[in-house]
Amino acid sequence: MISFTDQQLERYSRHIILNNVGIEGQLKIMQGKVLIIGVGGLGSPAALYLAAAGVGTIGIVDADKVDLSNLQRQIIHFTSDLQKTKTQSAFEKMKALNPDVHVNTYHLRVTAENIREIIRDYDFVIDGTDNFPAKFLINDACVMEGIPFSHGGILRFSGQTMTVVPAESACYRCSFPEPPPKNAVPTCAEAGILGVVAGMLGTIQAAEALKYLIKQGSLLTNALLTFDALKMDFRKVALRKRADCPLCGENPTILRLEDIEQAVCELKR
Amino acid sequence: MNVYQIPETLPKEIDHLENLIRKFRQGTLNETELKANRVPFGVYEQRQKGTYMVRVRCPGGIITPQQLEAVAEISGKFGSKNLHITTRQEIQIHDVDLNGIISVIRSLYDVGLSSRGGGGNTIRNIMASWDSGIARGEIFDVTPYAVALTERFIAESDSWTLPRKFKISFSNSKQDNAFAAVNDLGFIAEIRDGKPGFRVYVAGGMGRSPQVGQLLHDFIPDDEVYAVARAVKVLFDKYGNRKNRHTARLRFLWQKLGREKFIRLYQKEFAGVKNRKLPPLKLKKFENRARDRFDILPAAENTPEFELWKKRYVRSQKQAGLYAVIIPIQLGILGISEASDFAEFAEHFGENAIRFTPQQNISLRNIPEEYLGNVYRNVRRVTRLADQPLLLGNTIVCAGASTCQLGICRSRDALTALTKKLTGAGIDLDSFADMKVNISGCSNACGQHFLADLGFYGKVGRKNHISYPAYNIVVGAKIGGEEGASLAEKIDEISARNLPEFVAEFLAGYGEKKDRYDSFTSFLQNGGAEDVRSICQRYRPIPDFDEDKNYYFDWGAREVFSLAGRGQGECSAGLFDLIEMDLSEITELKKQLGEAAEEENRAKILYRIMLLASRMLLITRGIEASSDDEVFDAFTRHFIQAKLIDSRFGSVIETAKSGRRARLTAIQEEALALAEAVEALYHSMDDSLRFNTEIKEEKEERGDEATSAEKAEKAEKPHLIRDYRGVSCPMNFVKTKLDLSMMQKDQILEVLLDDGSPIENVPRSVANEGHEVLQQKRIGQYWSVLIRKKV
Ligand code: HEM
Ligand code: SF4
Ligand SMILES: [Zn+2]
Repeated sequence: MISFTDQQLERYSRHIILNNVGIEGQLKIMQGKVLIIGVGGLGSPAALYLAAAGVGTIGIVDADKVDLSNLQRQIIHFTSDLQKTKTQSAFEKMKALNPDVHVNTYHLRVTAENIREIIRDYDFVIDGTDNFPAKFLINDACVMEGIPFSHGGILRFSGQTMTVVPAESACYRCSFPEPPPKNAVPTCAEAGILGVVAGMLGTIQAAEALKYLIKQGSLLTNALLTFDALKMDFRKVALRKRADCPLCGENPTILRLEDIEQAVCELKR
Repeated sequence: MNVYQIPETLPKEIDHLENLIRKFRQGTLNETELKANRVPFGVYEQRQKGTYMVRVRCPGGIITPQQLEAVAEISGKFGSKNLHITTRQEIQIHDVDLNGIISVIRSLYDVGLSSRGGGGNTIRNIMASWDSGIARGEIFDVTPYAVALTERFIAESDSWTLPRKFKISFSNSKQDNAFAAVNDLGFIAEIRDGKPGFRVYVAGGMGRSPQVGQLLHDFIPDDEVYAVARAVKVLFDKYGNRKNRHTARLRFLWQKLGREKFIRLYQKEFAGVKNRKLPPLKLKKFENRARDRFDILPAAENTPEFELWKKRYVRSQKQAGLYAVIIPIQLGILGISEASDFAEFAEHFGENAIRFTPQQNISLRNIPEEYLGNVYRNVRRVTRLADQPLLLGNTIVCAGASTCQLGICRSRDALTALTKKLTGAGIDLDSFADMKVNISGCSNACGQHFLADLGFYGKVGRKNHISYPAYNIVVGAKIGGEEGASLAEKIDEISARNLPEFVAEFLAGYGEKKDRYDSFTSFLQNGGAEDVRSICQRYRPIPDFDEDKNYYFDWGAREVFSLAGRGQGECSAGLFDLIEMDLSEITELKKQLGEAAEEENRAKILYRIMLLASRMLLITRGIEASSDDEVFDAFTRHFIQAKLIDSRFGSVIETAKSGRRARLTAIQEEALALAEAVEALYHSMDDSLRFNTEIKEEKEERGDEATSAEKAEKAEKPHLIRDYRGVSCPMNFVKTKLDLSMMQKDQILEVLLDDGSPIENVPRSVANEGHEVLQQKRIGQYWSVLIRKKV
C-alpha cells in the first residue's frame, strides 16, 4: 500500500512534484530493483544517483578493491577507502546518502555460471564494466533472462550507450555480433579516460534505469548514443533488431552462456 | 561401477563453490549469493542455521553397495548419524556444517556421486520404477534411459538455470509406479509394432495446485527420448515464468498457454532439436542375474515370522529363481551403521542390487531363493519395521511442522500415533497391503497425499476463536491404468486428535466389506465415500478447550497449537485455509439472513458476519484474537487505522462492539458492505500476504436509483479533507498529490491552504496535472479548495 513517511515525502518532493513522476512514479522507483555491474567510472555516479532517487533495491557487483588510480573518476570511492573492496566502499556511501535503499553487494566477477542467477532478481541492469567479454556476457544473459539493461562504454574523451529491452529492441549483438579481436581494441595503455566522461555516461545510464522504472518517456532503444566531449558533439545512430542476430534473432546460435577469454590488462583498473 | 558418468566440469564447479564458501566465511560474500550457488548444488540450509543437508543424485534410485557404504562413511565424518531416503529415490546427508560441505561433495565425487541439481531450479533426480528390470509385468527395463538421460542432462549447463525445478520420471509399465504422470515430464514404457518406446506426459506435478500430467505423445520410439526431453527443457527455459516462483513450474506454463499453444511451441522446439541430429542416448545395460559365486552360505530360516515376512515383503522376479525384497525404512531415516552394514551385505548380490523406492524404502534384488534367510536376518538389523505390515512400511509422511517451517501439523508424530493405534486395534493390516496412506503436514504435499488411497494434509481448525490441528482427508488417487491418472480428492476433514481413530474405524469397516469390491476405488464409489463422511460426522463437534485440551495440542507437541507468528513467509497455505473457512461461513450466513424473518435472529446473524469479517484477515498480520472484543479492536487497529479498510466502517464496528446488537438491523447495509470490503481486500492479497494498494471504492450498486439531486449533492461532498495550513511549498503540493493518488477517479478532495504562495501555486499545479479544481473559498486567513480527481 502507499506509505510515505513525512520524511520520505520531503526527501523525494522534487520527484513527486514532477508531473511525469508523481506519487505513483516515486512509488515505482521505491519498488524498483536495479543491478549495477561494476562500481567504477560508470557505476559510481549511477549508484549514487539511484540511491539518491530512492530505488528500492540496488545491487552492486564488483570483484575489485579501491585503488589510488581509480579516484580520478570513480567518485563514489574516497581516499580513505583505498584497499577496501569497491562493493563495501560503495555500500557505505549509498547507505549514508539514503538509508531507505536496500543495497545488495556481490563481491565477485560475473561469469557465465553465476550471472543469470544474480540478474534474475532485478528489473533493470546497468552495465558499468570495462571490458568486452563482460559486456557481451551481460548482453547475452540479459537477453536470455528477458531483463532490460543499459549498455555503456567510454574511452578517452568519448562515450557510447544504448538501452536494450530484450525481445522488443535491438540487442548489443544485433550490431556487434562478436567481441572485437583482441588487437582491435585499444590496449590498456592507450585507454586513458577523462574522468568526467565517466560521470556523463553513468548518469545517462542511471536516467534510463529510472525512466524504465517509472515507464515514462522513451528509452534509448534501437539507437546508439555517442558523444565526444572534446567537441561536445552528441549523436544518435539508429540501430535495428536483426532477424539473423545470433542471440535474439529467429534462429539463434547462442543458446547458452559462455565466458569469453579476455585480453589481460596489465594496468591496474 | 559408477552408475552414471559425471561431467568433467564438475571439479571446477566444486572449486568455484569452495571459493564462494571461503568468501562467505571471510565476510566478503553475502548469504543470498552463497545460497544462489549452493542450492543448485543440492545443498540446503536446515532449520538450524549454519547446518546443511546435501542431496545425492541417484537416478532410478540406484546406488551401488560400495557407494552406499561410502555415503554412510562420509555422513559419519562430516554429517549426522542418520541418512535420509527421499521420495525422489535419492539419499541425503544431514547436519553438515559449512566447513564440511566441500569435503562431502568431493568425497561423493570420488565415488562417482554428485549432488549437482539436488535443489534449486534445476533438473532434479530422474526417477525410474524401483522394480524396473525385474518386475514380472513390465514392458521393458527403463533404468538405462533414466541413467543415460541423467548423464546427458547433467552435462548441459542450461540444466542448472531453469525457471524452476524440473522433474522427470520413467515407469516400466502402465501401473506407473514411478509416478511419471505427476512429474513435469514422464515416460511410460510401451511397445508398438515390436519397437520399444514411450507414452509421454508433461506438465504434471504436486504441491499447492497439483495437476496430473497431460499427454504429450501417444508414442515415441525409444531413440527420441532425448529429443523430447531436450525440447521440453528448452521450452521451459524459454517461456517459464521466472518472475514469480509460485507460478513457475511447467504446469503453470501449460495453464497459461493452453494445450494448443503449448503443443505448438513444443513442436517447434522438438523439430529444432531433431534437426540438429544429436546422438540418441547411450544406453548402458543393468544386468539382473545371480552372482556366479557366493562367499556366504545360505542361512536356513523357518520361523513363522520369516514366512510372514516373505508374504509381505518378498516378490519373485521375472528372472526365474530370483527374488527382490522391500526393506521398509521408517520415515526414510536410515542410520549410518545400519546403512553400512546393509551395504556390505548387499555386495553379495552384485553392484546392481540396490534401489531406493519412492516410498522412501530400500529394495534389494537378484537374490536366489536360498539366500532369503540371510536377507531376512540382515533386514531385521537394518529396520525396526521388518515384522510390520506393508501398509505401515509403505506409508509416506513429510517432515511436518516439527522440523519444517511451512508445516501446519506435525505429520510424523501423527503417523506415530496412527501406527500405535493400528497395531493395537486388532485389524488385519495385511489385508490392506496394497493400500497407500500418505500424510503431509500442509498443502505443499511433500508427503504426496495426492497419490494416496487415503491421504491427509494438515490444516487449521477453529472453535470459539481457538485453533486446533486438523487434517483434510483426500481419497482415491488413481495412478496407472488405462483411463489416465487422477489425484486423490478432498472429501472431508478430521481433527488431528481423531485421525488415528478415524483411520482405524475406516479400515475396520472397509475390511469387513472388502471382498465385495474389486478395488478400493470401486469401494469408494459404492458407499466408501459415505463411510468416510459418516465417521467424520461423528467426530465433528470437537470438545471445547476447557473440556478437553488434548484436541488443541498437536501430536508430539508440548505447546498449544497456534499459527500466529508462523507462515509469514512465502508459503502460508494454512493461513489461506483459515481465511477461506471464515469466508465460506460468511457466505452461508448471508444466505440465512435472506431467510430469517425475526429481528432478533437477523441481528445475531449480522453480528456474526461482522465478527467473521473482522477476524478473517487478522491472521495475515500474525494476530490471533481470543475474544470478540479483541477481534474488533485488532481489526480497527490493523485494518481501519492502517487505511486498508475505509474509515467509515469504524462506526458500524463500534455498534457491534457496544453489545447493542439489535441496532445492527438498522444498519444492515453497512454491515454487509464491510464484509464485502474485507472480501475484496482479501482478493487483492498476493501470496506474500500483501494487499493491493488502493482503498476500496464504496459500493453503491444498489437497485434503487438515487435521485439526481441526491447524486449531485453527494458528488460535491469531499471524500477526504486535509489541512495543509502551515505546510510550505512545495510540500503542500506533494502531500496533496499523495492524497489524490489514494483516491478513486471523480472523488473529491478538500484541502485547506494558507494564503500567499500556497493558494497561488497548489491549485494551479493540481489543475496542470489534469485534475479539476471545483472551488476555492477564502475562510478568514486561509483557503478551502475542492479538487475532483480526474486522472
Ligand atoms: C522440511 C522442509 C521442507 C519444505 C520447507 C518443503 C517445501 C516444499 C514446497 C514449498 C513444495 C511445493 C513446491 C512447488 O509446488 O513448486 C514442496 C513440494 C514437494 N516436496 Fe517438499 N519441503 C520440505 C521437505 C520435503 C521432504 C522431506 C520431502 C520428501 C522426502 C519433500 C518432498 C516434496 C515433494 C515430493 C513435493 C512435490 C513436488 C512436485 O511438485 O511434484 N519435501 N515442498
Ligand atoms: S508438506 Fe508442508 S509440512 Fe510437510 S514438509 Fe512439505 S512444506 Fe513441510
Ligand atoms: Zn540481438
